[in-house]
Amino acid sequence: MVKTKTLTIIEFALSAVIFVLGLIGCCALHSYVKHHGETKKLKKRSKLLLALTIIAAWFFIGTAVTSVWHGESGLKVEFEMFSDRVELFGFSFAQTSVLMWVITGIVLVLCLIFRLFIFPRFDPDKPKGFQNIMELAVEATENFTKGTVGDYSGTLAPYMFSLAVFMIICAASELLGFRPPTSDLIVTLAMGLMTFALINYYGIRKKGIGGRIKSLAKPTPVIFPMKILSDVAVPVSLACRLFGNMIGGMIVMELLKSVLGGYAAGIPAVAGLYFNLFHPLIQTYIFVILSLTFINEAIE
Amino acid sequence: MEGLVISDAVKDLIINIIDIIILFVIVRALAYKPVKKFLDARKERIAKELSDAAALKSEAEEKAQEYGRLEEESRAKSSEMLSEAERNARKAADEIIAAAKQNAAQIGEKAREEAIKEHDAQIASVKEDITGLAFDISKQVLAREVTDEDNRRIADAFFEKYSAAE
Amino acid sequence: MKKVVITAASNMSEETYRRICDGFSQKIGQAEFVRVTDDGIIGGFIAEIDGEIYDMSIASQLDRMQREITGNGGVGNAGNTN
Repeated sequence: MVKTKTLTIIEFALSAVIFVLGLIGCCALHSYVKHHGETKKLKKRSKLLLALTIIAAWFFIGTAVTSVWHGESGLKVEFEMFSDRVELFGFSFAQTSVLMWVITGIVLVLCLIFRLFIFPRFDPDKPKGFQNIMELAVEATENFTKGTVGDYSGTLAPYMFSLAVFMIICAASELLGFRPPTSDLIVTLAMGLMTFALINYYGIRKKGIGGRIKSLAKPTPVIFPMKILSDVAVPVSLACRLFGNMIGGMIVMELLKSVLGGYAAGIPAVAGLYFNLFHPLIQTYIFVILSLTFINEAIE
Repeated sequence: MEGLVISDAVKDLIINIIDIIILFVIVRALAYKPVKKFLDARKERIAKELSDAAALKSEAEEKAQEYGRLEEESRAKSSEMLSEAERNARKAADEIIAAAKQNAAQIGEKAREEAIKEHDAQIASVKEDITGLAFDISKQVLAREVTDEDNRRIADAFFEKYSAAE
Repeated sequence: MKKVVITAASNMSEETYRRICDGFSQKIGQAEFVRVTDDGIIGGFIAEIDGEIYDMSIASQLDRMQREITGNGGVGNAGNTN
């Protein structure tokens, strides 16, 4: 969109005026309400005024940013499939790997804090607050794992728990603007491979190597190659699913930001609420469920 | 794709796997296991409390039964003792009543005798009074009517007897 | 000489008294006779000769009769217990 300078200035001035007026109106309304109390009509009117003011503010900031800082808007987004590399100690690591280690460090610190300070204060009979959350989480994981797998839930439950913790923190890091480790294919592949290892480990433990291979030959030996393929496809699908979802979210966010250009004040934050918080949580849930289901399948 | 080197990728993969494992160990040891132990302890405690309560209840029921039995026993014994005491008491009472009856009879007899005696005495007394009265009157009448001739006759009669007696 | 005391009522004449005295004299010989007058004996006489008493008084006969009828002495009854 090509703008003439006059138009820009008019835009700018208009939005500024509306914004300031709206602000004053809001304050007046607020004091009016304080003195006279609220009525339904008043509530609606005040909400309307508030919305108007916010829109005006956004517009104002947008115009300001665009005109003053020359924020570009475009429909072209660049991103790398594999994240940038970082030089450390003579080796090149992926930025996401570094982030992952940072996350591990954060988790370590948090867990230490939990173990040393919060856990001793746990009330044995009446849980409340954070203790309640922790208890709920652990119990939910336990029941979940027991429900799906049953026998080997002793080690699996903590593993899934730690995986879930990891993915939640990744989502949080995405909010902060970093490229989350879960959007790196190598990372998700690592997670998928872990699940694959677990599937086979428990399968072999339950049935023996022969049994595991034999189960691939059921019901008829004809489908043996197909079964192998599907078994290999499991970790790959898990990895790709997670990777695709995360990177898709990231792309959408980037697109939004670049389209709005200077006007990208506030809207990406709201959108980010979904893409960077809700969406990753769903993906966590799916990843854990699928892993457990496949392991269960191998045990059956 | 720029920047993807297989060796790099594999190295990254291995690093990531190690990272996941380390993460798992940390979380399990520091967060999961303690909470789980905590929850299990609580469940155990509740179960123990329940079983304790059940044991206590059964013990209490047992005790109640035993008490009931003891009570029955003691009641039987006490009723037995009671009946024996009653029997004894009744016997003693009967004896006392018999003795009392006898006593009363004796007393009655004595009283009757006494009453008869008294009655007789009273009759005698009345008779005495009446006869006394009669004789007083007689004496008074005689005192008036007796003549010297009567005296003479008496004297003669006396001397006749007198002389006959010698 | 024997002493004889004759107790008689006032209704006894001297004559009768002499008769009694003579009668006694015939029996016991010489005696000294004393007359005591007692109307209480109503009639007859009581003769006391040296301690021996011969009671022919009407009063005594009456008393004797009374005693026979009442069966017991007039004196000496136990008091009535009412």
